[in-house]
Amino acid sequence: MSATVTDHAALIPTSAGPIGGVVTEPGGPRRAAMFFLQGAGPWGRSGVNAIWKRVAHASGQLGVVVLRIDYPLSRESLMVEGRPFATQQEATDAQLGQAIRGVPDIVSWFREGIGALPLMLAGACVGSRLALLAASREPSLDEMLLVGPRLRDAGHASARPARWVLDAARAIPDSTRVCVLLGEEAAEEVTVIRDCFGREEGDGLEIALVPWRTREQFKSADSQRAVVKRTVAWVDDALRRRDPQRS
Amino acid sequence: MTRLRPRAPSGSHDGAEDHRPWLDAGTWRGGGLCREVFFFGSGGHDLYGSLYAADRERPAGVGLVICGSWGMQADCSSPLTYGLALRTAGFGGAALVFHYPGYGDSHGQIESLTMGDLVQAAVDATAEARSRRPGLRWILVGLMFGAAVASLACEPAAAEGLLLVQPSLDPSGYFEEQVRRSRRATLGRDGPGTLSFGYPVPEAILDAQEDGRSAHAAVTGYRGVGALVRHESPVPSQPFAESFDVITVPGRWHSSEQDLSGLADGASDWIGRSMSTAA
Repeated sequence: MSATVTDHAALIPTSAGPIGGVVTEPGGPRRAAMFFLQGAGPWGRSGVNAIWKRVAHASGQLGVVVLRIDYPLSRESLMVEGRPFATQQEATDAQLGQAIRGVPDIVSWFREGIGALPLMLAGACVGSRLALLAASREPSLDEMLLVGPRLRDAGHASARPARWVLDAARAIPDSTRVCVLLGEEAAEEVTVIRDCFGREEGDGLEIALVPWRTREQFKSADSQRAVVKRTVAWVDDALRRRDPQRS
Repeated sequence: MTRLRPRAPSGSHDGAEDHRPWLDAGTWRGGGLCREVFFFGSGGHDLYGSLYAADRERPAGVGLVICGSWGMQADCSSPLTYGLALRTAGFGGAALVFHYPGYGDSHGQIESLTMGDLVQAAVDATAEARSRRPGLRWILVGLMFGAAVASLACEPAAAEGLLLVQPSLDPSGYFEEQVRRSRRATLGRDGPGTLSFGYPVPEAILDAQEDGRSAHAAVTGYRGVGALVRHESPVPSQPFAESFDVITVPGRWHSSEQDLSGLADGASDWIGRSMSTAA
Protein backbone atom coordinates (compact mmCIF):
# COMPACT_ATOMS: atom_id res chain seq x y z
CA MET A 1 0.00 0.00 0.00
CA SER A 2 1.36 3.42 -0.91
CA ALA A 3 1.61 5.74 2.07
CA THR A 4 1.69 9.12 0.39
CA VAL A 5 -0.85 11.12 -1.56
CA THR A 6 -0.70 14.43 -3.38
CA ASP A 7 -3.62 16.82 -3.80
CA HIS A 8 -3.84 18.96 -6.92
CA ALA A 9 -6.13 21.98 -6.98
CA ALA A 10 -7.75 22.47 -10.38
CA LEU A 11 -10.16 24.71 -12.25
CA ILE A 12 -11.82 22.30 -14.65
CA PRO A 13 -12.84 23.94 -17.93
CA THR A 14 -16.46 23.25 -18.85
CA SER A 15 -18.78 24.85 -21.35
CA ALA A 16 -20.51 26.71 -18.50
CA GLY A 17 -17.32 28.00 -16.83
CA PRO A 18 -14.58 26.78 -14.47
CA ILE A 19 -15.48 24.08 -11.95
CA GLY A 20 -13.30 23.96 -8.83
CA GLY A 21 -11.93 20.49 -8.18
CA VAL A 22 -9.28 18.63 -6.24
CA VAL A 23 -7.55 15.54 -7.62
CA THR A 24 -5.90 13.26 -5.07
CA GLU A 25 -3.15 11.10 -6.51
CA PRO A 26 -1.42 8.13 -4.90
CA GLY A 27 2.32 8.30 -4.42
CA GLY A 28 2.73 4.72 -5.61
CA PRO A 29 1.24 2.76 -8.51
CA ARG A 30 -2.17 3.90 -9.72
CA ARG A 31 -4.71 1.06 -9.67
CA ALA A 32 -8.02 2.77 -10.34
CA ALA A 33 -9.79 6.11 -10.38
CA MET A 34 -12.91 7.39 -8.63
CA PHE A 35 -15.12 10.40 -9.29
CA PHE A 36 -16.88 11.27 -6.04
CA LEU A 37 -20.08 13.34 -6.17
CA GLN A 38 -21.09 14.57 -2.72
CA GLY A 39 -24.49 15.82 -1.63
CA ALA A 40 -25.59 19.39 -2.26
CA GLY A 41 -24.81 21.32 0.90
CA PRO A 42 -22.80 24.35 1.99
CA TRP A 43 -19.81 22.18 2.96
CA GLY A 44 -19.00 21.41 -0.69
CA ARG A 45 -16.63 18.78 -2.01
CA SER A 46 -14.88 18.15 1.31
CA GLY A 47 -18.04 17.28 3.21
CA VAL A 48 -18.88 17.96 6.84
CA ASN A 49 -15.63 17.93 8.81
CA ALA A 50 -13.85 16.98 5.59
CA ILE A 51 -15.21 13.41 5.54
CA TRP A 52 -14.96 13.15 1.74
CA LYS A 53 -11.42 14.54 1.80
CA ARG A 54 -10.58 11.79 4.30
CA VAL A 55 -12.15 9.21 1.99
CA ALA A 56 -10.09 10.61 -0.92
CA HIS A 57 -6.84 10.46 1.04
CA ALA A 58 -7.47 6.93 2.34
CA SER A 59 -8.45 5.79 -1.17
CA GLY A 60 -5.33 7.45 -2.56
CA GLN A 61 -3.27 5.41 -0.15
CA LEU A 62 -4.85 2.31 -1.71
CA GLY A 63 -3.75 3.45 -5.17
CA VAL A 64 -6.88 5.27 -6.35
CA VAL A 65 -6.88 8.65 -8.12
CA VAL A 66 -9.86 10.58 -6.73
CA LEU A 67 -11.66 13.63 -8.15
CA ARG A 68 -13.96 15.79 -6.02
CA ILE A 69 -15.68 18.96 -7.25
CA ASP A 70 -17.67 21.90 -5.94
CA TYR A 71 -21.01 22.10 -7.70
CA PRO A 72 -21.77 24.97 -10.06
CA LEU A 73 -22.87 28.22 -8.40
CA SER A 74 -21.23 27.31 -5.09
CA ARG A 75 -17.89 27.80 -3.35
CA GLU A 76 -15.03 27.34 -5.85
CA SER A 77 -17.44 26.93 -8.75
CA LEU A 78 -19.17 30.26 -8.39
CA MET A 79 -18.07 31.53 -11.78
CA VAL A 80 -20.33 29.50 -14.00
CA GLU A 81 -23.21 30.75 -16.06
CA GLY A 82 -26.50 30.74 -14.25
CA ARG A 83 -28.60 32.74 -11.88
CA PRO A 84 -27.54 33.35 -8.28
CA PHE A 85 -29.56 31.65 -5.61
CA ALA A 86 -31.11 32.85 -2.38
CA THR A 87 -32.34 29.89 -0.39
CA GLN A 88 -30.89 26.46 0.29
CA GLN A 89 -33.66 24.69 -1.63
CA GLU A 90 -33.22 27.01 -4.58
CA ALA A 91 -29.49 26.46 -4.37
CA THR A 92 -29.93 22.72 -4.47
CA ASP A 93 -32.19 22.84 -7.51
CA ALA A 94 -29.99 25.34 -9.33
CA GLN A 95 -26.82 23.41 -8.52
CA LEU A 96 -28.33 20.13 -9.59
CA GLY A 97 -29.55 21.56 -12.88
CA GLN A 98 -26.19 23.14 -13.63
CA ALA A 99 -24.27 20.08 -12.49
CA ILE A 100 -26.27 17.79 -14.76
CA ARG A 101 -25.10 19.87 -17.70
CA GLY A 102 -21.48 19.95 -16.51
CA VAL A 103 -20.88 16.37 -15.41
CA PRO A 104 -20.12 14.92 -18.89
CA ASP A 105 -17.43 17.60 -19.48
CA ILE A 106 -15.88 16.83 -16.12
CA VAL A 107 -15.84 13.06 -16.69
CA SER A 108 -14.14 13.59 -20.07
CA TRP A 109 -11.53 15.83 -18.45
CA PHE A 110 -10.86 13.25 -15.73
CA ARG A 111 -10.73 10.39 -18.28
CA GLU A 112 -7.99 12.27 -20.11
CA GLY A 113 -5.75 12.04 -17.05
CA ILE A 114 -6.50 8.51 -15.88
CA GLY A 115 -5.94 6.87 -19.25
CA ALA A 116 -6.78 3.16 -19.10
CA LEU A 117 -7.35 3.02 -15.35
CA PRO A 118 -10.72 1.55 -14.37
CA LEU A 119 -13.13 4.32 -13.35
CA MET A 120 -15.41 4.00 -10.34
CA LEU A 121 -18.25 6.40 -9.58
CA ALA A 122 -19.51 7.25 -6.13
CA GLY A 123 -22.33 9.54 -5.07
CA ALA A 124 -23.68 10.64 -1.72
CA CYS A 125 -27.17 11.92 -1.00
CA VAL A 126 -28.32 14.09 -3.95
CA GLY A 127 -24.94 13.49 -5.59
CA SER A 128 -26.14 9.93 -6.16
CA ARG A 129 -28.47 11.20 -8.89
CA LEU A 130 -25.53 12.82 -10.66
CA ALA A 131 -23.48 9.65 -10.24
CA LEU A 132 -26.32 7.66 -11.82
CA LEU A 133 -26.43 10.06 -14.74
CA ALA A 134 -22.68 9.78 -15.26
CA ALA A 135 -22.77 5.99 -14.86
CA SER A 136 -25.52 5.63 -17.45
CA ARG A 137 -23.15 7.17 -20.01
CA GLU A 138 -20.15 5.00 -19.10
CA PRO A 139 -20.24 1.68 -20.93
CA SER A 140 -17.04 0.45 -19.27
CA LEU A 141 -17.89 1.18 -15.65
CA ASP A 142 -17.23 -1.75 -13.30
CA GLU A 143 -18.19 -0.37 -9.92
CA MET A 144 -20.54 2.21 -8.50
CA LEU A 145 -21.25 3.24 -4.91
CA LEU A 146 -24.21 5.22 -3.58
CA VAL A 147 -23.89 6.52 -0.01
CA GLY A 148 -27.20 7.40 1.64
CA PRO A 149 -28.71 8.11 -1.78
CA ARG A 150 -31.52 10.63 -2.06
CA LEU A 151 -33.10 9.48 -5.28
CA ARG A 152 -36.35 11.36 -4.79
CA ASP A 153 -37.06 14.87 -3.56
CA ALA A 154 -37.14 15.62 0.14
CA GLY A 155 -40.65 16.05 1.50
CA HIS A 156 -42.07 13.68 -1.07
CA ALA A 157 -41.50 10.35 0.68
CA SER A 158 -44.30 8.69 -1.25
CA ALA A 159 -43.08 10.01 -4.60
CA ARG A 160 -41.14 7.98 -7.11
CA PRO A 161 -37.75 9.17 -8.30
CA ALA A 162 -37.88 11.56 -11.23
CA ARG A 163 -38.14 10.07 -14.71
CA TRP A 164 -34.59 11.02 -15.63
CA VAL A 165 -33.26 9.33 -12.47
CA LEU A 166 -35.13 6.11 -13.31
CA ASP A 167 -33.97 6.26 -16.93
CA ALA A 168 -30.36 6.75 -15.81
CA ALA A 169 -30.50 3.88 -13.30
CA ARG A 170 -32.04 1.50 -15.84
CA ALA A 171 -29.45 2.50 -18.46
CA ILE A 172 -26.53 1.38 -16.30
CA PRO A 173 -25.06 -1.75 -17.89
CA ASP A 174 -25.75 -5.05 -16.12
CA SER A 175 -22.00 -5.53 -15.84
CA THR A 176 -21.73 -2.52 -13.49
CA ARG A 177 -21.82 -3.68 -9.90
CA VAL A 178 -23.83 -1.26 -7.73
CA CYS A 179 -23.37 -1.03 -3.98
CA VAL A 180 -25.67 1.09 -1.79
CA LEU A 181 -24.87 2.08 1.79
CA LEU A 182 -28.03 3.09 3.63
CA GLY A 183 -28.46 4.58 7.07
CA GLU A 184 -30.27 2.10 9.32
CA GLU A 185 -33.31 4.33 9.74
CA ALA A 186 -33.73 4.53 5.96
CA ALA A 187 -34.52 0.83 5.48
CA GLU A 188 -37.75 1.73 3.70
CA GLU A 189 -35.61 3.03 0.82
CA VAL A 190 -34.55 -0.53 -0.03
CA THR A 191 -37.68 -1.09 -2.12
CA VAL A 192 -37.24 2.24 -3.89
CA ILE A 193 -33.67 1.32 -4.79
CA ARG A 194 -34.61 -2.14 -6.09
CA ASP A 195 -37.37 -0.60 -8.20
CA CYS A 196 -35.11 2.16 -9.43
CA PHE A 197 -32.47 -0.25 -10.77
CA GLY A 198 -34.87 -3.04 -11.70
CA ARG A 199 -32.52 -5.39 -9.86
CA GLU A 200 -32.55 -7.56 -6.76
CA GLU A 201 -29.69 -8.08 -4.35
CA GLY A 202 -27.20 -10.57 -5.75
CA ASP A 203 -28.09 -9.45 -9.27
CA GLY A 204 -25.30 -6.88 -9.46
CA LEU A 205 -26.87 -4.94 -6.57
CA GLU A 206 -25.69 -4.91 -2.98
CA ILE A 207 -27.51 -2.97 -0.25
CA ALA A 208 -25.96 -2.61 3.19
CA LEU A 209 -27.56 -0.96 6.21
CA VAL A 210 -24.97 0.86 8.27
CA PRO A 211 -25.15 2.62 11.64
CA TRP A 212 -25.72 6.25 10.79
CA ARG A 213 -28.72 8.51 10.60
CA THR A 214 -29.06 9.92 7.11
CA ARG A 215 -31.14 12.86 8.31
CA GLU A 216 -28.37 14.20 10.52
CA GLN A 217 -26.10 14.57 7.46
CA PHE A 218 -23.01 13.08 9.07
CA LYS A 219 -22.85 15.62 11.89
CA SER A 220 -21.99 13.14 14.67
CA ALA A 221 -18.55 11.69 15.25
CA ASP A 222 -19.93 8.13 15.06
CA SER A 223 -21.62 8.76 11.71
CA GLN A 224 -18.48 10.37 10.31
CA ARG A 225 -16.31 7.45 11.38
CA ALA A 226 -18.81 4.93 10.00
CA VAL A 227 -19.22 6.57 6.60
CA VAL A 228 -15.49 7.04 6.05
CA LYS A 229 -14.72 3.47 7.14
CA ARG A 230 -17.46 1.86 5.04
CA THR A 231 -16.71 3.93 1.94
CA VAL A 232 -13.00 3.16 2.05
CA ALA A 233 -13.77 -0.52 2.71
CA TRP A 234 -15.90 -0.53 -0.46
CA VAL A 235 -12.98 0.97 -2.44
CA ASP A 236 -10.67 -1.70 -1.05
CA ASP A 237 -13.15 -4.48 -1.91
CA ALA A 238 -13.56 -3.12 -5.43
CA LEU A 239 -9.80 -3.18 -5.95
CA ARG A 240 -9.59 -6.74 -4.65
CA ARG A 241 -12.35 -7.86 -7.00
CA ARG A 242 -10.32 -6.55 -9.92
CA ASP A 243 -7.05 -7.96 -8.67
CA PRO A 244 -7.54 -10.81 -6.17
CA GLN A 245 -3.77 -11.30 -5.89
CA ARG A 246 -3.26 -7.80 -4.51
CA SER A 247 -1.96 -7.76 -0.95
CA MET B 1 -2.08 9.68 9.11
CA THR B 2 -1.72 10.83 5.53
CA ARG B 3 1.76 11.91 4.58
CA LEU B 4 2.34 14.30 1.74
CA ARG B 5 5.07 14.33 -0.81
CA PRO B 6 6.24 17.29 -2.86
CA ARG B 7 4.07 18.09 -5.85
CA ALA B 8 5.28 16.20 -8.92
CA PRO B 9 6.41 18.12 -11.97
CA SER B 10 4.26 17.89 -15.06
CA GLY B 11 5.10 15.22 -17.61
CA SER B 12 5.70 11.80 -16.17
CA HIS B 13 4.17 9.52 -13.59
CA ASP B 14 4.60 5.88 -12.70
CA GLY B 15 7.53 5.84 -15.13
CA ALA B 16 5.28 6.49 -18.13
CA GLU B 17 4.64 9.64 -20.12
CA ASP B 18 1.05 10.72 -19.78
CA HIS B 19 -1.10 13.78 -19.75
CA ARG B 20 -2.79 14.61 -16.50
CA PRO B 21 -4.80 17.79 -17.11
CA TRP B 22 -4.91 18.64 -13.41
CA LEU B 23 -1.17 19.36 -13.39
CA ASP B 24 -1.68 22.55 -15.37
CA ALA B 25 -5.27 23.43 -14.43
CA GLY B 26 -4.44 25.73 -11.52
CA THR B 27 -5.11 28.93 -13.47
CA TRP B 28 -8.16 30.15 -15.38
CA ARG B 29 -8.77 33.42 -17.21
CA GLY B 30 -12.02 34.81 -18.52
CA GLY B 31 -14.51 37.63 -18.17
CA GLY B 32 -11.78 40.07 -17.15
CA LEU B 33 -10.76 37.90 -14.20
CA CYS B 34 -7.86 35.62 -13.42
CA ARG B 35 -8.24 32.76 -10.96
CA GLU B 36 -5.51 30.67 -9.37
CA VAL B 37 -5.97 27.65 -7.07
CA PHE B 38 -3.04 26.09 -5.26
CA PHE B 39 -1.67 24.68 -2.04
CA PHE B 40 0.84 26.59 0.09
CA GLY B 41 2.82 25.63 3.15
CA SER B 42 2.02 26.67 6.73
CA GLY B 43 3.14 25.00 9.93
CA GLY B 44 4.27 21.88 8.07
CA HIS B 45 0.90 21.42 6.30
CA ASP B 46 -0.39 22.11 2.80
CA LEU B 47 -3.18 24.69 2.98
CA TYR B 48 -5.68 25.29 0.18
CA GLY B 49 -5.66 28.74 -1.40
CA SER B 50 -7.81 30.34 -4.08
CA LEU B 51 -7.01 33.71 -5.60
CA TYR B 52 -9.52 35.87 -7.46
CA ALA B 53 -7.92 38.77 -9.30
CA ALA B 54 -8.69 41.30 -11.99
CA ASP B 55 -6.98 40.41 -15.23
CA ARG B 56 -5.88 44.04 -15.34
CA GLU B 57 -5.26 45.20 -11.78
CA ARG B 58 -5.71 48.81 -10.75
CA PRO B 59 -2.39 50.46 -9.93
CA ALA B 60 -1.86 50.32 -6.16
CA GLY B 61 -5.19 48.53 -5.81
CA VAL B 62 -6.42 46.56 -2.85
CA GLY B 63 -6.11 42.86 -2.15
CA LEU B 64 -8.00 40.94 0.54
CA VAL B 65 -6.90 37.91 2.51
CA ILE B 66 -10.16 36.49 3.84
CA CYS B 67 -10.11 34.69 7.19
CA GLY B 68 -13.35 32.72 7.21
CA SER B 69 -15.44 31.69 10.16
CA TRP B 70 -15.34 28.23 11.72
CA GLY B 71 -16.83 24.87 10.77
CA MET B 72 -20.49 24.94 9.83
CA GLN B 73 -20.64 28.75 10.07
CA ALA B 74 -17.76 28.91 7.59
CA ASP B 75 -19.68 26.53 5.31
CA CYS B 76 -22.90 28.50 5.53
CA SER B 77 -21.18 31.84 5.01
CA SER B 78 -19.30 30.62 1.92
CA PRO B 79 -21.54 32.71 -0.39
CA LEU B 80 -20.34 35.79 1.56
CA THR B 81 -16.70 34.65 1.44
CA TYR B 82 -16.61 33.87 -2.26
CA GLY B 83 -18.96 36.70 -3.15
CA LEU B 84 -16.59 39.23 -1.54
CA ALA B 85 -13.65 37.72 -3.39
CA LEU B 86 -15.44 37.90 -6.71
CA ARG B 87 -16.66 41.48 -6.17
CA THR B 88 -13.18 42.65 -5.15
CA ALA B 89 -11.69 41.18 -8.31
CA GLY B 90 -14.47 42.92 -10.22
CA PHE B 91 -13.40 46.24 -8.66
CA GLY B 92 -9.91 45.72 -10.11
CA GLY B 93 -8.31 44.21 -7.00
CA ALA B 94 -7.68 40.68 -5.79
CA ALA B 95 -8.75 38.40 -2.95
CA LEU B 96 -7.33 35.24 -1.48
CA VAL B 97 -9.65 32.70 0.15
CA PHE B 98 -7.82 30.05 2.15
CA HIS B 99 -8.84 27.08 4.31
CA TYR B 100 -7.57 26.80 7.88
CA PRO B 101 -5.47 23.71 8.72
CA GLY B 102 -7.70 20.62 8.78
CA TYR B 103 -10.73 22.45 7.36
CA GLY B 104 -12.03 21.91 3.82
CA ASP B 105 -9.24 20.93 1.47
CA SER B 106 -6.36 21.96 3.75
CA HIS B 107 -4.29 19.30 5.43
CA GLY B 108 -3.73 19.09 9.17
CA GLN B 109 -5.62 18.07 12.28
CA ILE B 110 -8.47 20.37 13.21
CA GLU B 111 -8.82 18.99 16.76
CA SER B 112 -5.37 20.02 17.88
CA LEU B 113 -5.28 23.57 16.50
CA THR B 114 -4.37 26.60 18.57
CA MET B 115 -5.09 30.24 17.79
CA GLY B 116 -1.38 30.50 17.10
CA ASP B 117 -1.75 27.95 14.28
CA LEU B 118 -4.67 29.88 12.76
CA VAL B 119 -2.85 33.20 13.02
CA GLN B 120 0.24 31.66 11.42
CA ALA B 121 -1.96 30.33 8.60
CA ALA B 122 -3.31 33.86 8.01
CA VAL B 123 0.23 35.30 8.05
CA ASP B 124 1.44 32.66 5.59
CA ALA B 125 -1.61 33.21 3.39
CA THR B 126 -0.86 36.93 3.27
CA ALA B 127 2.76 36.25 2.31
CA GLU B 128 1.55 33.89 -0.43
CA ALA B 129 -0.92 36.48 -1.74
CA ARG B 130 1.72 39.21 -1.69
CA SER B 131 4.17 37.03 -3.59
CA ARG B 132 1.56 36.37 -6.29
CA ARG B 133 0.34 39.99 -6.58
CA PRO B 134 3.12 42.20 -5.22
CA GLY B 135 1.66 45.49 -6.44
CA LEU B 136 -1.40 45.49 -4.17
CA ARG B 137 -2.10 46.80 -0.66
CA TRP B 138 -3.10 43.68 1.26
CA ILE B 139 -5.91 43.95 3.80
CA LEU B 140 -6.89 41.21 6.23
CA VAL B 141 -10.60 40.45 6.39
CA GLY B 142 -12.16 38.54 9.28
CA LEU B 143 -15.65 37.06 9.01
CA MET B 144 -17.32 36.27 12.37
CA PHE B 145 -14.89 33.94 14.19
CA GLY B 146 -12.28 34.78 11.56
CA ALA B 147 -12.22 38.35 12.90
CA ALA B 148 -10.24 37.15 15.92
CA VAL B 149 -7.75 35.47 13.59
CA ALA B 150 -7.45 38.52 11.33
CA SER B 151 -7.04 40.92 14.28
CA LEU B 152 -4.22 38.87 15.76
CA ALA B 153 -2.56 38.31 12.37
CA CYS B 154 -2.72 41.91 11.21
CA GLU B 155 0.57 43.04 12.75
CA PRO B 156 2.72 39.94 12.08
CA ALA B 157 1.39 39.79 8.51
CA ALA B 158 2.22 43.49 8.03
CA ALA B 159 -1.27 43.91 6.60
CA GLU B 160 -2.17 47.36 5.32
CA GLY B 161 -5.73 47.30 6.58
CA LEU B 162 -8.24 45.36 8.65
CA LEU B 163 -11.87 44.71 7.72
CA LEU B 164 -13.99 42.93 10.34
CA VAL B 165 -17.43 41.62 9.39
CA GLN B 166 -19.80 40.80 12.28
CA PRO B 167 -16.77 40.00 14.42
CA SER B 168 -16.59 37.46 17.25
CA LEU B 169 -13.41 38.48 19.00
CA ASP B 170 -13.63 36.00 21.88
CA PRO B 171 -12.69 32.57 20.41
CA SER B 172 -13.33 30.67 23.63
CA GLY B 173 -16.75 32.26 24.11
CA TYR B 174 -17.55 31.71 20.45
CA PHE B 175 -16.89 27.98 20.71
CA GLU B 176 -18.80 27.66 23.98
CA GLU B 177 -21.85 29.17 22.29
CA GLN B 178 -21.46 27.02 19.18
CA VAL B 179 -21.22 23.83 21.25
CA ARG B 180 -24.30 24.83 23.28
CA ARG B 181 -26.30 25.55 20.13
CA SER B 182 -25.18 22.34 18.50
CA ARG B 183 -26.16 20.25 21.55
CA ARG B 184 -29.58 21.87 21.64
CA ALA B 185 -30.09 21.29 17.94
CA THR B 186 -29.04 17.63 18.03
CA LEU B 187 -30.53 16.84 21.47
CA GLY B 188 -27.12 15.56 22.53
CA ARG B 189 -26.84 12.99 19.70
CA ASP B 190 -23.46 14.48 18.69
CA GLY B 191 -21.84 12.00 21.06
CA PRO B 192 -19.50 12.52 23.97
CA GLY B 193 -16.82 14.58 22.15
CA THR B 194 -16.86 18.33 21.73
CA LEU B 195 -18.47 18.85 18.34
CA SER B 196 -20.11 21.90 16.89
CA PHE B 197 -22.53 20.93 14.09
CA GLY B 198 -20.24 18.11 13.01
CA TYR B 199 -16.95 19.97 13.43
CA PRO B 200 -14.51 19.32 16.28
CA VAL B 201 -13.85 22.22 18.61
CA PRO B 202 -10.14 22.55 19.39
CA GLU B 203 -9.73 22.16 23.15
CA ALA B 204 -6.72 24.46 23.22
CA ILE B 205 -8.81 27.35 21.87
CA LEU B 206 -11.83 26.53 24.02
CA ASP B 207 -9.65 26.71 27.13
CA ALA B 208 -7.61 29.81 26.24
CA GLN B 209 -9.36 32.94 27.58
CA GLU B 210 -6.30 35.04 26.79
CA ASP B 211 -6.86 34.71 23.02
CA GLY B 212 -9.99 36.83 23.35
CA ARG B 213 -8.22 39.43 25.47
CA SER B 214 -5.42 39.63 22.90
CA ALA B 215 -7.86 40.04 20.00
CA HIS B 216 -9.76 42.78 21.85
CA ALA B 217 -6.49 44.54 22.62
CA ALA B 218 -5.50 44.32 18.96
CA VAL B 219 -8.66 46.08 17.75
CA THR B 220 -8.72 48.58 20.61
CA GLY B 221 -5.17 49.67 19.88
CA TYR B 222 -5.38 49.45 16.10
CA ARG B 223 -4.21 52.63 14.37
CA GLY B 224 -4.29 51.62 10.70
CA VAL B 225 -6.96 51.66 8.00
CA GLY B 226 -9.89 49.63 9.20
CA ALA B 227 -13.60 49.01 8.99
CA LEU B 228 -16.20 47.27 11.07
CA VAL B 229 -19.32 45.99 9.30
CA ARG B 230 -21.99 44.74 11.68
CA HIS B 231 -25.72 44.52 12.29
CA GLU B 232 -27.13 47.30 14.47
CA SER B 233 -27.69 44.89 17.32
CA PRO B 234 -26.28 43.48 19.46
CA VAL B 235 -23.89 46.33 20.14
CA PRO B 236 -20.26 45.15 20.67
CA SER B 237 -19.42 44.84 24.36
CA GLN B 238 -15.99 46.42 23.93
CA PRO B 239 -15.02 49.53 21.97
CA PHE B 240 -13.13 49.48 18.70
CA ALA B 241 -10.36 51.95 17.90
CA GLU B 242 -11.58 55.24 16.44
CA SER B 243 -9.67 54.56 13.26
CA PHE B 244 -12.32 51.99 12.25
CA ASP B 245 -15.02 53.09 9.83
CA VAL B 246 -18.24 51.66 11.22
CA ILE B 247 -20.83 50.43 8.73
CA THR B 248 -24.09 49.39 10.34
CA VAL B 249 -26.51 46.98 8.69
CA PRO B 250 -30.17 47.10 9.80
CA GLY B 251 -31.53 44.34 12.00
CA ARG B 252 -30.33 41.98 14.66
CA TRP B 253 -27.55 39.46 14.15
CA HIS B 254 -28.02 35.78 14.98
CA SER B 255 -25.13 33.36 14.62
CA SER B 256 -27.44 31.10 12.59
CA GLU B 257 -28.35 33.97 10.25
CA GLN B 258 -28.55 32.79 6.64
CA ASP B 259 -29.15 36.07 4.86
CA LEU B 260 -25.72 37.67 4.78
CA SER B 261 -26.48 40.02 1.89
CA GLY B 262 -26.53 43.15 4.10
CA LEU B 263 -23.09 42.38 5.48
CA ALA B 264 -21.83 41.58 1.97
CA ASP B 265 -23.11 44.89 0.62
CA GLY B 266 -21.63 46.85 3.54
CA ALA B 267 -18.24 45.22 3.16
CA SER B 268 -18.28 45.63 -0.62
CA ASP B 269 -19.10 49.33 -0.34
CA TRP B 270 -16.10 49.87 1.90
CA ILE B 271 -13.82 47.84 -0.35
CA GLY B 272 -15.01 49.83 -3.37
CA ARG B 273 -14.27 53.11 -1.56
CA SER B 274 -10.82 51.84 -0.54
CA MET B 275 -10.13 50.99 -4.15
CA SER B 276 -11.11 54.51 -5.25
CA THR B 277 -8.89 56.02 -2.57
CA ALA B 278 -5.99 53.89 -3.74
CA ALA B 279 -6.49 55.05 -7.33
